[in-house]
Amino acid sequence: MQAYIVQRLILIPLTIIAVSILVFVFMRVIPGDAAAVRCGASGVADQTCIEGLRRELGLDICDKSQNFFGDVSCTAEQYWKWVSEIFGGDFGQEIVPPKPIADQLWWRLGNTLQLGMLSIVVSMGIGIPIGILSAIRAGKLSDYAARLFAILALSVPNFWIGTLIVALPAFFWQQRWVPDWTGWADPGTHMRILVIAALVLGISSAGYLARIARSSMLEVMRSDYVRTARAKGLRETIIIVRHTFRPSMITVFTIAGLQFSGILGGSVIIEQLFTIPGLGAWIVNNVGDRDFQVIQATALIFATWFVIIRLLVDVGYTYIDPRIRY
Amino acid sequence: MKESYWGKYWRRRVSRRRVLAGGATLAAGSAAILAGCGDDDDDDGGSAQPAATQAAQEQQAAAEEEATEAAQQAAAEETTADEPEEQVSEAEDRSRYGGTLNYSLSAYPTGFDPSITITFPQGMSTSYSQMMAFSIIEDQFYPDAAQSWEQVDPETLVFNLREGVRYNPEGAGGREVTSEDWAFNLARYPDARANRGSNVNELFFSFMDPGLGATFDTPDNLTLTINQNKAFASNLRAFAAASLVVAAPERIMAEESGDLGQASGINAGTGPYMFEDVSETRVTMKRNPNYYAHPEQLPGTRYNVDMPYIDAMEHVIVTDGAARQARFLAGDADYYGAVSKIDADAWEGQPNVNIETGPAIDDGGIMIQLAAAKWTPYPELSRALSMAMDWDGYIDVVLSGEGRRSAPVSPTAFPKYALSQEEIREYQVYDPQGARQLWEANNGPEIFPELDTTVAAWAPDISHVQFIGQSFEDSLGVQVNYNPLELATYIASANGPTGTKDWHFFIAGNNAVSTMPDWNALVAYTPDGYGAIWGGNWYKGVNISDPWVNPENPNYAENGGSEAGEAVRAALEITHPYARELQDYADRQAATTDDDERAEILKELQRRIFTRYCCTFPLPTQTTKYVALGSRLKGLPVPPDIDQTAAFGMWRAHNIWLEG
Repeated sequence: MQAYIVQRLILIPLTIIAVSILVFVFMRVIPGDAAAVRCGASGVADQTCIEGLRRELGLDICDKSQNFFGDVSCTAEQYWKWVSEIFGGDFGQEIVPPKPIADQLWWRLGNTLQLGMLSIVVSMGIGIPIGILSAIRAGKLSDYAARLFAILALSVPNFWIGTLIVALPAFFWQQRWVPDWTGWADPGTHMRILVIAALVLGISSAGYLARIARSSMLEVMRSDYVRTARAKGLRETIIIVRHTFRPSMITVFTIAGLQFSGILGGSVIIEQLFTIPGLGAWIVNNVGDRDFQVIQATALIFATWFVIIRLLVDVGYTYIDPRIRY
Repeated sequence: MKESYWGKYWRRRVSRRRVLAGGATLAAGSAAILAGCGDDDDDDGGSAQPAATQAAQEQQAAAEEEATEAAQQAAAEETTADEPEEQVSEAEDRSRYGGTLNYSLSAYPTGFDPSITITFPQGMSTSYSQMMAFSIIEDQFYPDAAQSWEQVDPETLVFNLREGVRYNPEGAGGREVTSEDWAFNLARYPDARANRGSNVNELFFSFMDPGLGATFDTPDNLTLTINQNKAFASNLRAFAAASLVVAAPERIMAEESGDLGQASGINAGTGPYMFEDVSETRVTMKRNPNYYAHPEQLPGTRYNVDMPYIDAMEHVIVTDGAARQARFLAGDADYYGAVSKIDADAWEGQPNVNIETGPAIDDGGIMIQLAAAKWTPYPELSRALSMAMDWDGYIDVVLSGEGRRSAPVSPTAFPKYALSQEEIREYQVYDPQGARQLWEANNGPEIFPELDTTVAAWAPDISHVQFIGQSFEDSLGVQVNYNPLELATYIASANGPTGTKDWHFFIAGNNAVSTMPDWNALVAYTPDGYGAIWGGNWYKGVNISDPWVNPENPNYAENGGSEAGEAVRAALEITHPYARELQDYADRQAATTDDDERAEILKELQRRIFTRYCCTFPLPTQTTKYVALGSRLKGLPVPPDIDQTAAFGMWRAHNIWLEG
């Protein structure tokens, strides 16, 4: 087990390095850069402005005209400089506003993590009980209701639900259920925003988890040892809680782990909609602005998040099912 | 002839909301300053017929002219008559003071330097002061930081500065502004970071560019003499721009970057408000205790004697459109801005919303820009393109029948300098059969077997672009390809030296109303401006395409020897003579002191643009403006007044207040 964890821990930096190279290269391959966007956005958009800003922002160092990626050795040098600075805790400078990225990164990551954690609570808190209920009551009305919920939750896009939550109360009752962002300065408002956003973000995951939990439970409930337990005269509650629930959770746990990573992707839209200053909203704005430094830093954080969650999920298997050994 | 399904499809009415949204997004992306929507009078209902009869057109045009004049006059009268100052009691006046005006910003401001930032007019025009404000409707200047001014001769302008204008307490310690400060700011303007290389700015502000020979005299602290390097008819109007303001030089010089983009350096102004807090989620402003008085109360002024009614401003950054709308409808934001008629109708009866309607004076519509290098060699083909465009159909379908023809000089904002609707119609004739004949006779199918256009992928609707493309397809039989691109790629596609564009036509935003009648004519229509080819070729008299065309340029090796370099060189040989020709008109109108003569030259300039059919076709614009305001906001300038420059319109108005 320890050897496995060590092996995985060694793979983490390698994965992150691979991601960093991919992000770094792709950001330089796509057309446009921050200078072109800024000159364009300020109504100038001519070559002198663009070239001047490129010089100021250091974007002219590796000239793309040399080849598709620019001067390869220069690009490699630039990459190395960036990586070295990150190891020193310096993620670079955001262009607009011109502030150190590190200042915002952790603060925004905190907001996104809060949203992510809450949405996982929502997702698991709603999805797993519904799935279990659906499995236990298979074929009954409550099962159909649970499955209907799962299908609806899966098929209705969360951004659409979010838009309705934002727009409808304002239009019909001149009220907003999601107020302006205050952060922890106003804990009540802060939690209100996060809970509503987490509900929206977590609901489709809940639908998916409900379906997985149901099928997984049903599979375990049909296994020989459960039948034996029933034949022995054990109470249904004990069979469910002691003999069925835990083994059926391996699949659910795997899916939940993956969804936790996927929730980051969902936060990109939900943070925009609910005006939550998190990493998702930040990366969207900066992709449009071609702020390479911010995109690279955020992508690295996302990648790190993903591999760590995957590791935790894998390690978690052994606790859920002692038969699993690495 | 039986009309096809697609023919009917393209004839359907497209909501103005969709068009506005698309146009606005395009305008933003295409670096046009603001995607206004606007225009004045009505049109002929834009039927599907190729053209109305000549007599009907003349009658229509005459009616439109009259309506335009009436609208202008009514607007001016309304602006003057609407002034509340004389009508309110002292107690009532006192009760108007106080409150926090709340806005939603769609993005974090791109900067806080008034000479550079154009994305935050609310903040810039309230925290800094310009020499004077200018009302387009009344054609009148109002003194602000300058008490008076005098054009001594065509090349000498003297400002007498107002006494007692001081920076806010955090700006240069609240000291008094001097003429030296003004000289510093005006001299800095052309070289302020993001202004460098802007040939648009050069067109309009080079008359006082020290790099081109202008000088500033400051005989005392309150007198500034600008010795222009050339006569410029729009010089006074240039000073009404919200970007020509005074900022504390010591604050600017303290910034390493050379601009005030850093949040730490933003309080450097003299305006009625100062920044209190700037965070990633909001910008708050409070009163500047040092703000100066405006004792002269000219008719029509929007300055109170002492200070604005409203105490503070809060700008909350809400990037999502639905969330911004919700914020406004719930009464949390006091201002929304221009809306479509559909939204205006839908919001009628909303308790927190007040819809103001009026004639649109801005000509901030959209235009068809042709890649100059591709089209200048073939004037007959670009003419065929103009004839292929269903101009009236555009008004009928895209503008829901509420539109009028536009021109390089806004017919609504500057009737004196503009061409009549009748004359514009003579140049913009829809003749699909004639277009096809002309196209084929001049090898159009071989030269342009397909036409490519770039569209904004994030635009909610591009049906106006598709209408234009469909017109070309129907009339010329050419296939039109639409390439959707996201913002940065879109800008990158639009930019680049002449000859390297990867599109044939591009629907770009026109500039919103400017105080200068020559603005659009120069910016959007000359191949040397940033309009038609979007990325000019010269700056301070130097051809910035030099590295592409001049073998002696040290950077020539990287560019000039390439295929793209050859394309640039070939393109410039054709575009430059025409650009010089337009520049000659521009220089002549700018140099004249006779306003009638100037109007005639500007009209000649427009006729030349229309008859050359290259490289920009102005699209018809709207006639009515709908603006959504919070119901507690009172004393507002209504359209078209609200739409005037930031320095005169709503942002700078002192006499708006919050009820309750």
